[in-house]
Order: sequence, then structure tokens, then C-alpha cells
Amino acid sequence: MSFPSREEERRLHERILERDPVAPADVFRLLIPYVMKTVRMEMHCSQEDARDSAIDAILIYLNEPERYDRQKKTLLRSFLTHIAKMRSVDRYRSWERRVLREQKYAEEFELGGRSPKEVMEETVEARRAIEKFEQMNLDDRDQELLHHVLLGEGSTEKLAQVLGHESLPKDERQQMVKRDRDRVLKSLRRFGREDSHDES
Amino acid sequence: MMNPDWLETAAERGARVPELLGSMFAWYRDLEDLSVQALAEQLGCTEATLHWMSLCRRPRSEAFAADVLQIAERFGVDPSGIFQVLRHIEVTEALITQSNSPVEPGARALQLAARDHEKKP
Repeated sequence: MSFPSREEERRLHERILERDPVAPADVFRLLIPYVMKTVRMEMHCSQEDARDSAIDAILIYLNEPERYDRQKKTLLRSFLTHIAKMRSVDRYRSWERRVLREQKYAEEFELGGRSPKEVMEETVEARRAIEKFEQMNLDDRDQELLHHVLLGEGSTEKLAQVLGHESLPKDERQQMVKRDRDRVLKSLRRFGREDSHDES
Repeated sequence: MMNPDWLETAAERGARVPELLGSMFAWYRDLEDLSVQALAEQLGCTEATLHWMSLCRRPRSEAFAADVLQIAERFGVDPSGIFQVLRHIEVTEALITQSNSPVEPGARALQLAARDHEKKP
């Protein structure tokens, strides 16, 4: 692999400053192999990371070529390699942050999550509860009411809608909702007691 | 024209840089719904040559013809194809600018007709 001489680099940089249309392609052609190789060797990163960092470096340079100061006697390829190394470090840090974030999320998920055994037990209990409710022989309206009450629905207006009492005057509506609610809950309590006697 | 393994990625990244010719090719491909291969065929070159040209600087308006000729000569491509693509983009850019200004609709219709005429083979 051959690299441009100091004089060739100087001329290349001048062409960039003069806005020669072909000069950017020449910067890629002449300098990216060196930058990629050096970044890969010194940063111990992958070929893809070295490639992306080298491309970043050249695009950053092309955007602001004036930032390269020839008076400091630094070679253009060394200047580009320095930028590429910094980009490689940024990439590594970004990757590290992402991995830590994902690990933290995974740990929280594992701690907060339930074991498969717990999930299965709950499923079995829920199925048994549904089977028992079906044995209560409630009509559709009462089943719907019980469903809402067990889910914590406390609004008289909502329960009145479920029971079809929404057209009644307010006082009467409240009375009817209370009556039906108490009746269904009483049935539930009675059924629960009977069920526990059966099991004992 | 050599085709190193970094070339395609560099051309793709360059397409997001407005100062590079690749951004104009990308816009043209988007407007005309063309693949990279289809645009390369239209320009009469290989995909690798198209990638190399994408890494060139967008021609300067004050030296437009000279810049296009330099790029075409360097990569052995017929300059008329590049001129056609860039002219199409320039007209589109101008129309976008004008559509945001109170230009007479008649004049705009003439420009649109001219552009459509250019598009016909």
C-alpha cells in the first residue's frame, strides 16, 4: 500500500480549498486506506468501525478544510487519522452506553417480572374462578354488573348504564343501582360460603 | 475503475452531504424513482464509477460547465448525461423556490412544460 508524499498531500489540500470538484474523491482514494488501517491497528476496532470512522473524518474535513493547519507541519493523513480515532472513541462510548442501558433494562425486567410458575398458577386460579361464576347462574345483566364491580367500577352512572337504569330519575336510579349491586354481591358472598363448605 | 470495499458506504454517506455530487444523484434517483444501477445505466457507467462521481464536489455555479466536464473526463463518462441530471435538479430546485413566492402561474406552467419536454426521450 503506497501513500501520497508530503508534497502530494499539500497539493491535494490546496485543491480542496480551491473547490476542485474532483478533489474530494481523490482525498478518499489516496488517504482512506491509511486512515482505516491505522485506526484499526491502534484502536483495536473492527474493520467496519475503522471504515465508518475514517469516512466520518474525511467528511468532517471536507466540511471545514480550513481547520487543517499546514503551518503546524502535521501531515493531512495524520490530521484525518486523529479525527477518525476520536470518532472511533465516540462510537465505542455510544455502544457502551447502549449496552449498559440494555443490561439495566433487562435486570429491571427480570426483577419485576413473574416466574413462569407464578403466571401458570394465576391462570389456573382465574380459570377456576370463571367456572365458579358460571355455576352461579347469573343472567347476562348481572354478570356484566359483577364484571364491572370486580374491576373496581364505582360510578353510579356507569353501573346504571350496565343495568339499563340510565333513563330513571336520579334518586330512583341511585336506589336501583344500589339494590342490584347489593343483591349481586350478596349472591357472590353466599356462593363463596357454599363453595368453601363444599371443599371442606 | 477500482471498487474498494469502503466505496459504496462512502458514497451512501456522501449522499447526505449537500456539497457533494452524490446528494444531487440521490435527489434525482428519488424524483425519478431510480435504483443506483438504473442511474448508472442512464449515465452509461458502472455502479462503482457512479459511486466515485458521488464523492466529487457539486459543480460550482460560476464554473458549472467546466466542473461537469472535468468530472466526466476524469471518470470517462459522457458529460451530457451528467448535464441532463443536474439540469433536471436545478429546474426542480428553482420550481420549489418559486412555488414559495408569488410568481405568475403562467410562467410557472411554462417552466413545468419545459421540464416535462426535457424528460421525454
